[in-house]
Amino acid sequence: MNWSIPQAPYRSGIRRIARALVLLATTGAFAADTEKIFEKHEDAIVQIRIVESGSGAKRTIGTGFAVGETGELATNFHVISDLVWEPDKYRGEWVDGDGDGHPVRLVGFDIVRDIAVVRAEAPFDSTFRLHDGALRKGQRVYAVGNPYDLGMSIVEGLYNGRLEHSRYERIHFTGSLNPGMSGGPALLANGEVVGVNVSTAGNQVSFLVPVDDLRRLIQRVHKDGYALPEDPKQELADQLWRHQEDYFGEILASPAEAVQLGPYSAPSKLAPFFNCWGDVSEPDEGLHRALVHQCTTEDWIFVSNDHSLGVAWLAHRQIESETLSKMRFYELYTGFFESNSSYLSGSKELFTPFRCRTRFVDSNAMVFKTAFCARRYLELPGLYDVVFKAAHLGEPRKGFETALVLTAVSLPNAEKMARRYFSAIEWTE
Amino acid sequence: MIFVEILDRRGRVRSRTRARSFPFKIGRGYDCDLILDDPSVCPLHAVVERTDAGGLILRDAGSQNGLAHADSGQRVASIAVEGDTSVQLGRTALRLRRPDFRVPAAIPIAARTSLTHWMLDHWSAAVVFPLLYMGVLLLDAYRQATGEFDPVGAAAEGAWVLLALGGWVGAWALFNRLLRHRTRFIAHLSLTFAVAILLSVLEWTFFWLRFLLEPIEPLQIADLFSTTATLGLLLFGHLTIMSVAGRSLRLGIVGAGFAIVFGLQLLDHFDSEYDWVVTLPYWSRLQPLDPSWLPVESPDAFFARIPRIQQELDELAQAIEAEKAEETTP
Repeated sequence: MNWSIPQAPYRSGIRRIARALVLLATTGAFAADTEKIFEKHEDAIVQIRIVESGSGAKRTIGTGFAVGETGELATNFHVISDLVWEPDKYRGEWVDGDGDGHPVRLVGFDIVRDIAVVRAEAPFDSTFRLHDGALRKGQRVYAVGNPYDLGMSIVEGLYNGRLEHSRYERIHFTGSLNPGMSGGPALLANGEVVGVNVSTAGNQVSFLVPVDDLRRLIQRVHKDGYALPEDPKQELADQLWRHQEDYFGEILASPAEAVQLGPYSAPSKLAPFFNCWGDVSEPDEGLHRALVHQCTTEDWIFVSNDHSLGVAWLAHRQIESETLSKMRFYELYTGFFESNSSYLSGSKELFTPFRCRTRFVDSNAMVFKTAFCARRYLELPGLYDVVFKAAHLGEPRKGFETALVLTAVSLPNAEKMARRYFSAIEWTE
Repeated sequence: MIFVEILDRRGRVRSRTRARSFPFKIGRGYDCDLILDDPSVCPLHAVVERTDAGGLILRDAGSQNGLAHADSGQRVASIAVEGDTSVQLGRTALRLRRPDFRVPAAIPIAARTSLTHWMLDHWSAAVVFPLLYMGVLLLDAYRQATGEFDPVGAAAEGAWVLLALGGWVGAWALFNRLLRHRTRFIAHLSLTFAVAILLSVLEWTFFWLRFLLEPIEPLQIADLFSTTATLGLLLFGHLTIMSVAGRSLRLGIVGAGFAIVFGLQLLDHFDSEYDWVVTLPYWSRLQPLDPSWLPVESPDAFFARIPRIQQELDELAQAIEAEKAEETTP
């Protein structure tokens, strides 16, 4: 999944191009609808940009839209994340029709849903109404934004329901969201907001944050008196902490499904929002056979321009051979055990190095070589990335090795997850 | 009858002369019975004579620099020749021994067993060692072949390795020839291949250690150390075969070389430091060993180790933060 992030600067008359786009649209309902929508709200949709405080050079652009009576603009968290991480280095601006920037300040964000509210110094002439109620599959939705800094444009698409395999709701929108459109509104023909543009998987598969999440954020911002908590980083850490408590709490409360891999039974879908797939690999020579089973959640959370997190992932591999000698089989087995999730991206600025414990552990009358590894988020106290690995020993030509990867998790939750996971691996022959 | 021996500075015999008739003249002159090429010795320096009592005596023949006891350095006019007498004539040390002098019993030969002899000198070693190493290479290729094993390809690769080692042996034999007028090809070859086999054995040993033990860094360093030390052994062996310098000097040369190379490798190791931020520091090595041989613990005992990991990580995070703070404040 690609985050719709910033593009190279490109000055243009936003409104002119948008109008041209509208005029270019063919006759019929689409043209009429889009023209109406755009004309009604063109002043309430603006470009949001993050600029370097000293030079005023553009770093990030996105889109924002007016949602409150006192100058509030909704956008994506990933558009304005620099204001949380490096408030001394960057400032936010909204850009008017003439290309002039006006300051905005961050007043609230929901990192898990990837939405944020910034506030301009003066109210906007018109604001958007948030839609309240259900949508039908196939209903027309218009996403508005500023792709590649080319100017405001409208993308027509269809509402395709809520995303499966995601704990947090995302609207599946069949239209092309492009970088720069992030944070723009997705509208119904009547001009009501149904979602916030957030990301794309390419090929007309795009995602929107449902408007209900935005409504809740606006209510919270209102309750907090339009003031960000004193330490935004702490607020961010708290949101992520609460998120993992809910998230892993739900996984631990869900009955896990099991998958049969050769003589082994192993945990599969740990919760309904896990997506699993499997494969068999049998090299041409037929010297061994490997069954692969993997499950992952798709709830990526954008944390900063360098880092996204929030995925739980598991991967089993069961291998067996009738022809390889023990020595060669274990050589192969070692290679698989090494390659399974032994590498996680990250940088020294964000994490401590990993620390592991490796032991031989007896579980369900099987002996495993077992490793539990963790690294800490430097700026998010209490959150860790954890990898739990195990490989069954003792069979001359059969093996089962597995990895469970949990990101941004507390160690108590990681322990509960790993214990449950490990105890679910059984020999059933 | 006695034996008159000329000794070197370390007391080793340089030459030995049998004195059958007396008087027995010792000096630099050609009319002497024992001629000493020492400028501090007179043409006729001393004489061994029979005494009236039937014994033998070494008498100063009026020399410039005289006779002296070897032990005390005390100058004397004459010395009675008993079972074992050491004297100094000018700068020359002499030892006079009677035929009934008892030498100690023989010491057993330990250094050169027949195996060493075979390794260093016998032509068949030049065949057996390369073959043995070829076997090791093939076994290693077989172990690593997780797909179809190609014996011909493995043998061809092995042959290249043998050829490269052959070049190494040839170079040492050439040095040997230039320095000592002998090639000692077989000795250099046996040594080189024995060390190559030892390196493979070390590698296999470390595979097992990586299966059985947990620590990453100590094992990595031990691996570096043992490999470097084995190569040091190789160098020491080559120098010994060539009889370059004395034993202690050779040890010194090799020790210094080892220290430099191992030191540089250590520096490189710590400098390029594995990025444990993204790579898990655990040994993934698995071995086909009966688990009943392994030290096994329960899941409870294993997961009870997590709080300690947490403590380590929190300390690490504090240290990193402190370091960052230090960097930003000049």
